[in-house]
Amino acid sequence: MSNSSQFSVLTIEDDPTTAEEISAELRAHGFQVETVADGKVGFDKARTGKFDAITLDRMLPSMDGLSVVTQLRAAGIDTPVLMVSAMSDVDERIRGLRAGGDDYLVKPFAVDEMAARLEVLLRRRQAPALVVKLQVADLELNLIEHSVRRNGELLDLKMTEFRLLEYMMRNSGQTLTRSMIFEAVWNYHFDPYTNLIEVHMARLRKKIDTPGLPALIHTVWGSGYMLGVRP
Amino acid sequence: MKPTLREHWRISTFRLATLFGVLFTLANVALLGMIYWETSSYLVHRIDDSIDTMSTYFKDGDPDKILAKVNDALVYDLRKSNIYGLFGPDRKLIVGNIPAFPAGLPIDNHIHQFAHPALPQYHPSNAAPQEETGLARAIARPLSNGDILVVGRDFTQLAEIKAIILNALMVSGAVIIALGLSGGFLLSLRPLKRINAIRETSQQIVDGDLSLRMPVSGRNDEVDMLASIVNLMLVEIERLLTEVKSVTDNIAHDLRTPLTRVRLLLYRAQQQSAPDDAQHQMLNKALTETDALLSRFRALLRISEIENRQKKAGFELVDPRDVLRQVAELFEPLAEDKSIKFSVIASSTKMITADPSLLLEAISNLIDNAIKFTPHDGSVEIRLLQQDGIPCIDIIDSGCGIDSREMEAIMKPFYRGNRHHGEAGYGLGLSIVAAIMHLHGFSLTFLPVKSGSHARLLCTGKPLL
Repeated sequence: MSNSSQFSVLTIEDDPTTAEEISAELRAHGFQVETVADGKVGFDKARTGKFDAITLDRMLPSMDGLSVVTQLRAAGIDTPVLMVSAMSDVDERIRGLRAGGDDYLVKPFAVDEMAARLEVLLRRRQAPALVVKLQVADLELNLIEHSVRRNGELLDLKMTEFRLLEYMMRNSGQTLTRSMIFEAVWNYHFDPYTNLIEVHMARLRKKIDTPGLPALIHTVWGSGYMLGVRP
Repeated sequence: MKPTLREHWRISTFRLATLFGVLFTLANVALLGMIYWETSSYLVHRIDDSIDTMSTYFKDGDPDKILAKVNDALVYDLRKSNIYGLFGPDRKLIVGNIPAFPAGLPIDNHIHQFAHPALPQYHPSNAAPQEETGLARAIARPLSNGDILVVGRDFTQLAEIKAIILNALMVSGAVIIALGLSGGFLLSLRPLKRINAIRETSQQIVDGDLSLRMPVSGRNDEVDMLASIVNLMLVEIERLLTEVKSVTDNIAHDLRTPLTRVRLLLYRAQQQSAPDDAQHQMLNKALTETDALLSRFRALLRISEIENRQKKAGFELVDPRDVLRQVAELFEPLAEDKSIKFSVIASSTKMITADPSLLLEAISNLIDNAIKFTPHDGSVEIRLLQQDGIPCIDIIDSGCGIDSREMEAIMKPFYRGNRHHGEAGYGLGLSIVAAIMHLHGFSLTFLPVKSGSHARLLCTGKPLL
């Protein structure tokens, strides 16, 4: 989790306690954090373009989050923006993303979820968009052949399992929360009420982490999952 | 809606008109009866007077001359309406214009009325004598020589008057009742139309559109007065409901920030404590509980968000089969995990207008419930069929089922069925489903089944705007 030490984040949030906790958590993840409570001030800071990512509350004094992100994009600033909003409706989410937000988090949220999402956003920035093959240790996923090999052995995965694995491999080494997985793999934006993700993950695990090989899929307590080689 | 006769009957105007029809008919009967009674008593009086006079004239004087008197009378009675008869002691006719001694006429010096084969009546069109039963009034007087003198007068007029009055009664009664019924029918058309308008409005209000008001015609009659009272009530109910709802929503919104803070602080404390510390375990538990609380909160806010959605922005034409395929793919492993037989039978139906993500959320909720409440080795079946042109999604499970008394209650927030057997959940899932159904104008019912449960989602109706 210390791989993000080089990143600086601007947190635009008007609630002092939330802002403080966000910055504490993000610092714990190795980010450099600057917090701003006002929309206008936040916009002025963000348009300098010196931040790697921005967390942006939807409702802010003097200038609301939607206007901030819209004007940032209009000004040619393409810093990844994580929108934070009290409104969970799909319409709101779509509006936030259309305005130029890169991800959308609904209040009340867990800071670790926010950190996980920010890391994925930053990682997405760096990763090459077009790849044919994804590789983590001895796990190989070929996007053209639609095949998966572990330790050279071909694995038989179902469609959903393949999509899940692809998402996890694209974000290997990152903590992926259940809702992130649910949104990215299934494109659903509601609370998965039960242990749905766990069940799907268990299936995938059974096929990937066969006995005798080092486990690649790890459970991150209280947050979600991570694919990668445990140090 | 076309009003039925039964409905007409329920309208007070109609009943009133009918009642007045009957009353008028009765009054008519009384009036005509009175006329009849007065007329007949007058006629009887006059006839009896003349019978008295005649019989006295015959009787007085020499009995031997009576025969001649009767003969004279027979000759001079031009109107042929009088009855004269002189009978022997053996009641054999000596002379007279009646063939036999009238049966039922006591010989007691009093005038009696009896059935009488009438004297030919006045029938200008029909010359043939008629064998009609008429009436007559007569007196039978015993004479000193043992003979019996019968003097009387034909009284068929009375029967005729009776017939005329009866006829008048029947005709006028029929006309009055027909007028009353048709008048009532016509008069009740309007109130019925208004009642039906009110009924339709209230149905829409029951269906959830509290902004509607009862139609008021502006005539300020009793229906308008009632409608205005109901409208006042509706305004108040709507105000109270919005108030309650906004209070709940505000509480949820206001608590959101502190809850987020609590979660943040707990998380930081957990991060800072050593993993093998007892306090760390406690903090873990506290975090789990807070997460549960947060997700309950999100569900509550979600419900109010869906309920407050005024538009159908995300609505599009959706093939229900696509939705079911996605849901099936999502839940199949969950069912398999519990060794539940999971099957989807989807026949092709017409497209439905829906918000696909909300519909998916609703169906997911239902299937999630079905799997949750079905024991190991049970079965969950999802069927898509078209019923009377309406796509219909059935979710049938072999689980613990729903108590028939709870069918209504389970849709309410925080209600958890009696048979949940400690399964995880907050009792908000079905409320979310209900809110989504309401937004779409769809209906969700739980069919009574012997075992397990059978949820039916009817994709019908117009979505709320």
